[in-house]
Amino acid sequence: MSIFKIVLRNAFRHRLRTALTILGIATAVMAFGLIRTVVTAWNAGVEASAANRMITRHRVSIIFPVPLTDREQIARVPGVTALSWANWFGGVYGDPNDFKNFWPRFAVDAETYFGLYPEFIIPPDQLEAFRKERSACILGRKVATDHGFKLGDVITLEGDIYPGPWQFVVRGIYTGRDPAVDETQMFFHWDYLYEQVKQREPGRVTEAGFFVMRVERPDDMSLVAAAIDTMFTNSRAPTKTESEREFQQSFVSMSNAIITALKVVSLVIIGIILLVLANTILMAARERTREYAVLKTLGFQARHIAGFIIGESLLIALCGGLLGLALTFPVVRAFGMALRGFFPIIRVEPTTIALALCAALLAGLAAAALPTLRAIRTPIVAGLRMIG
Amino acid sequence: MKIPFSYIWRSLWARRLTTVLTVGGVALVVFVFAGVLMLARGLQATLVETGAPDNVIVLRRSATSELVSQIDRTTASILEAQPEVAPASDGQPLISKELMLVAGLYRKGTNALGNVSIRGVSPRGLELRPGVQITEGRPFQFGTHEVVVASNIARRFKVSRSVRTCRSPATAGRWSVYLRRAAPATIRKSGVTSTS
Repeated sequence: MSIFKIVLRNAFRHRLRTALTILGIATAVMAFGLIRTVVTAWNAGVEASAANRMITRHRVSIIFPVPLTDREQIARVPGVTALSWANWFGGVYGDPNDFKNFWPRFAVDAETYFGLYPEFIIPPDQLEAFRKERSACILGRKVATDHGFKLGDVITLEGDIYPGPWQFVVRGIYTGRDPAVDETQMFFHWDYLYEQVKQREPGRVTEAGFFVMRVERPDDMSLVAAAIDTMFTNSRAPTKTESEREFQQSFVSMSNAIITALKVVSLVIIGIILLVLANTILMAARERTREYAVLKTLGFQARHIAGFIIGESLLIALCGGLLGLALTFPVVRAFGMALRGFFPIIRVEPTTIALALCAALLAGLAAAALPTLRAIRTPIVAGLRMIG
Repeated sequence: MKIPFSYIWRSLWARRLTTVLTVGGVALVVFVFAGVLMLARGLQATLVETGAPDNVIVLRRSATSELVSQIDRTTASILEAQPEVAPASDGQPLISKELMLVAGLYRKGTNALGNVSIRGVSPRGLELRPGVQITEGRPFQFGTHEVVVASNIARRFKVSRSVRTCRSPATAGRWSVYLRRAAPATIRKSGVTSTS
């Protein structure tokens, strides 16, 4: 008990120094938390992918369509229990330079698509209304609140891949089953896209952008993928079938270099925390060399001395870590608001919190190591003779 | 002036551990700062500064990138007749009608699929890009399945010469790679150029 008291008193003997150290650690922990959150936000799509969904797309690249007629053959592959298809629509809403105005828009098969995505929760009456109306669309809750879209509103998009003005009536708003679900997407009838393109650009054929399948057993995925891809090897559109997870991963891996750089930076930040703290503890322990000599004379053991120094270091690290984490939340929120549309899901994950705290505490332990050794090894006489 | 310096030096030396830790701390902060700036600057350099100031790109209205833009042949012909277009060496308008696509190629080493942009160009495509130099092989011949690949692609991806490298859905054919292209740093060093 008394050790804790001494640790507490010692830690706040030099108020300014301790406060500066805590602030320094807090800033570093906040930076660490923000960077880790950005990395997890990048991976959000991968984390949110279902274990039993697969995607079939054109083998060369996702930008090439696959013939819609392939669906009959894919549906017959053993193991495939449900199938739907969708197209990336693109389009521009308002000022394209504002991140806020970007959200993913997909033309989907109204009957089958949502059956494959149980994580999108749509009120049944809204889904019914959507299915009945060709130009209807379903919006994610976040997009709807960000732009103030209500049921019955008309959204006009300027098409790019499919040119011209496009109008959609909001007939449904979906919410995510859990916080990991992306609530920033927009879905409308694939049939609407097909018919409109036929009218606007006669001669242009609209095919499926990709197929989504549900498989009976996730273990069979490689078999299903092989079966589908072999079927179309010699067709005009060879396919690549992979699990939804791999599919999402392929998007993330395009920015691999940036993610790696961010991870390196986050590691370096831990080093900064360590050095800032080590300096303070070293200073404090050196100042108290004579005190430690006196304590040793009184009969305090090496473990007591170690307790004082390590305890003080951990205490400062913990204070800095907690303050830094407290700052992380508003900073992440502000960052997410500024880059809306870029990161559909950005939130401080529990693992990030744990990592940041662990980093601070580990730095606290490491920072205390050298000063503790020095304090313990200094002979009493040398300690008493020390003049600071 | 000698005294303060030796004084500074001796006090730094007297507290050498503190000095090392402080120097290390500042060094790491500088590293992080410089690293982040480098990242931002690198992205900017790739995305912004690859263009030549006197080249103009025409996209379709509302298209935000080349990938989603399509311009029909009639519009392209109108553009060709515009008086603003500079004449090429032979007096014809210096304009290249291009098509940009993306294809997946396998990386060397990791074998991961990476995106490579493929650009179909008109005969004047290379004339519009004076920064591109052919370092190996020869320019592709129009009307054949030949491509020119950037030196960075040849280095990072599994691209072998004179063998199939990618399949284009438009032709479903084999492409032969005949040469690599290298360019000064201002030209984007990725991308395959092919005949349209």
